[in-house]
Amino acid sequence: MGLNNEYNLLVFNSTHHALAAEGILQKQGYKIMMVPVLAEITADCGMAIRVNTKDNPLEILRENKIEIAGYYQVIKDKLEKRIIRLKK
Amino acid sequence: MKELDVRGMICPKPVIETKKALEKSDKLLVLLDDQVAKDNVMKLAKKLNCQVTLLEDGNEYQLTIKKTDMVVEKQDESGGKVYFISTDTLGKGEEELGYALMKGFVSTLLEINPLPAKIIFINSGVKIPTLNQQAQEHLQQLVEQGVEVVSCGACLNYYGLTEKLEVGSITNMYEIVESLNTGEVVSL
Amino acid sequence: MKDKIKLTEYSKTSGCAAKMSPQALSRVLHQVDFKSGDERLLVGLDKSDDAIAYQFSDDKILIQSVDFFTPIVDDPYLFGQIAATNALSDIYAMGGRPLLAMNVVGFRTCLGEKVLAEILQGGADKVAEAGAIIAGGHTIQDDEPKYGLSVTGVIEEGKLLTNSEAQAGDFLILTKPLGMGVVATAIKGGLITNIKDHPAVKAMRTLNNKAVAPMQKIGVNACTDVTGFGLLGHLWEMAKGSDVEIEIFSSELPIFADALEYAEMGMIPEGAYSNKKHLEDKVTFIGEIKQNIVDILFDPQTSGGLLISVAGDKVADLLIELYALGIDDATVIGRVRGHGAKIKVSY
Repeated sequence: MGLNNEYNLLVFNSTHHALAAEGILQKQGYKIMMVPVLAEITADCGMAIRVNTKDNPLEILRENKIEIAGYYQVIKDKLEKRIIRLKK
Repeated sequence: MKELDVRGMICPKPVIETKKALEKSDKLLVLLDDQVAKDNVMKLAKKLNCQVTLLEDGNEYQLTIKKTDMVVEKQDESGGKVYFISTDTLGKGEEELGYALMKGFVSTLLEINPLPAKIIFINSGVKIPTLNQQAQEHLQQLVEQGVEVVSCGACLNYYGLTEKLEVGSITNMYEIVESLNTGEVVSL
Repeated sequence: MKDKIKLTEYSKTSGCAAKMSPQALSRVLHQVDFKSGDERLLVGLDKSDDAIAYQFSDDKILIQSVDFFTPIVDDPYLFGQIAATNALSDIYAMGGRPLLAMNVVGFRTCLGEKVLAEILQGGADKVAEAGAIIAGGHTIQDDEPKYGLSVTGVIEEGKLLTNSEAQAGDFLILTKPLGMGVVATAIKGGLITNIKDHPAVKAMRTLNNKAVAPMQKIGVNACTDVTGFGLLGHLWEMAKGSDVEIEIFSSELPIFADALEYAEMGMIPEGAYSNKKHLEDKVTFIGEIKQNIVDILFDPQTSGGLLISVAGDKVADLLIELYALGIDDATVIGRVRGHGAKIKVSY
C-alpha cells in the first residue's frame, strides 16, 4: 500500500473544502485517501487527504479555488514519524 | 501533555532537558528551533525506545515523545474491543459529511492500540465493506493484522451486496449476539 | 573545582568543533588572492595540510601552524593543556619538532586573572613537555574565551611528511581512539563526572610527539592529525591530496568505550552534522553500518591522534615501535586501495 508509511497530506480550513477536494482529485484519477487530520498538526477534528508523494495536487486545487491550510510530507518508520510542512 | 520548551538552548542542553523531563512524564511535547538539537533529541527518543513524532515547519520543530512501555502494556491486555457498526455514515446529519467521516474513522482504526478485536457491520453498515473503496482497503489491512471483520448476511442480501463483499466474512445473528454479549462493545 | 566558573558555558561550540565549516572556509579562501608564488614554500594553502612548510636553508625546513579554540572542559588548567597539545600536534603531523610557541588568547576579564593564569600554565606545561619554549603571545578581550598556540617547528630536508603522498597498498594507522567530540558534548551535558580521568580527556592531553621518531625511522608515506573535520574529513583530505581510494574497516575503529552510548543518546556536536553534510557525497558506506559508528566517523576530534599511511612491509615494524613507546591505542583502521580520490567504509 502506497499511502501508509510515506505520503503527502493536504489539510484544509474547512470540511467543505476537504470534501470538494476529494471529489476533484478523485475525478482526476489521483490515488487518495480521506483521513482525519493528524493530532500533531491540529487538535481539531478536521478531515485531511493523503496523496501519493509523486503527485502534485496543489495546482489542480488552486485552479478549482480550493484553499488549503497546509501541505505536509509524512514519513513513518517503526517508532518514528516525521511530519514536514512543505507549503502553507 | 507536558510541554518542554528548549528553544534558544545550546546543544546538548535540549537533549539533557528532554531526558530529565522524560524521567518524570510518559508523554512529552518538546518545542525546538534548531535542526541539530532536533536530530539529537530524536536520537535520544529512539535510544530510550520511545515513539516520536516530528512536526517540522521551517525552523520550528515540535516533537511528541511517548514512552513505548505504556503502549506495550496496553497491547498485553488481551484483545481490543468489538466495533458494532450499523450505519454507512458516521453520526447524524448530512450524508456527504457522514460518509467522509466514516472513511476517516475506519482509517484511524488501523492506528489504535490495541487494534479492534472484531468489527461487525450490520444494516446499512454492510455498505462499508462492499461499496466504500477506501474503507475496503483499510479493512483488508486490519484483517491482515488479525482483526476479525464480519458482515451480516441478511443485510448483504437485502441490499443485494452479497456478491460485492470483498473483505472479511459473512456472519449470522447468533454469532453477532454472542460477540456483543462477551466483548467490550463500541456501537456506531 | 574550587571556583564555580564553568568555562564551557561561555562557548557555543567546543574544542575543534568550533572550526568554521570546511565548505564556508573554502568558499572564502577562493575569493582571496594570496600572491604566494615562492617556490621555497613547500606546503601552503593549496594543500589543505596541517601546517605550512618553508625551505629556509639547504638542509632545514621551517614548519608553522596556529590553532586555538573555545573551552572544551570547565577546568582552566585542563583546557590549557588540551589546547596546547592540539596546537603542537600539527607540527608532529608534519614529522617535525616544535621549537617556539606563542600564546593566542581571547579572554573575558570578569572570569578573573587566576583562571587565565591557569589556562596559560596548562599550555606552558605542555609546551615544556614538548621540549619547546613559549616566547610570547597576544591576548584580547573576548566574551567567548579562546586559547591556543602559534607554533614554529623545524625538520630536516627530506623528512617532511604531508597528507598527500599516501600510496596504493598502504595501511592506515590511527594512534588515538575516536569519539572526542561526542564525549566533550556529554561533558558539557553534565553526564560525565570524573572529567580529568576520562580516557578521552587523557587522550586529548597526550602529545603526539612520541610517534614521530618511529615514523621517521621506519619511513611512512603520509601523515596528518585527526581534528575538527572528523576522521572522514581528514581521510578525505588525504584521499584527495594523494589521489587514492581509501577503505576504512568500521569494525576495527578504536572508539572510547562510552562514546558509542553517548552518540546513541544524541550527544552529537553540531560539527559532526556539518562534516557529514560536506562529506556525504564523497563517502560510500558498504553494508549496514550502525548509526552510532557513522556518527563517530563524522565526529569532530579535539587533539586527536595521528593518521599514518605506511607501506604494507613496514606496518608491523611501525606498530611494534609505537607499542614499545606506550602508544597502545595505535590501530590499523584501513587500507589504501587504488587511484581516484574516494572513501569507502566497510564492515
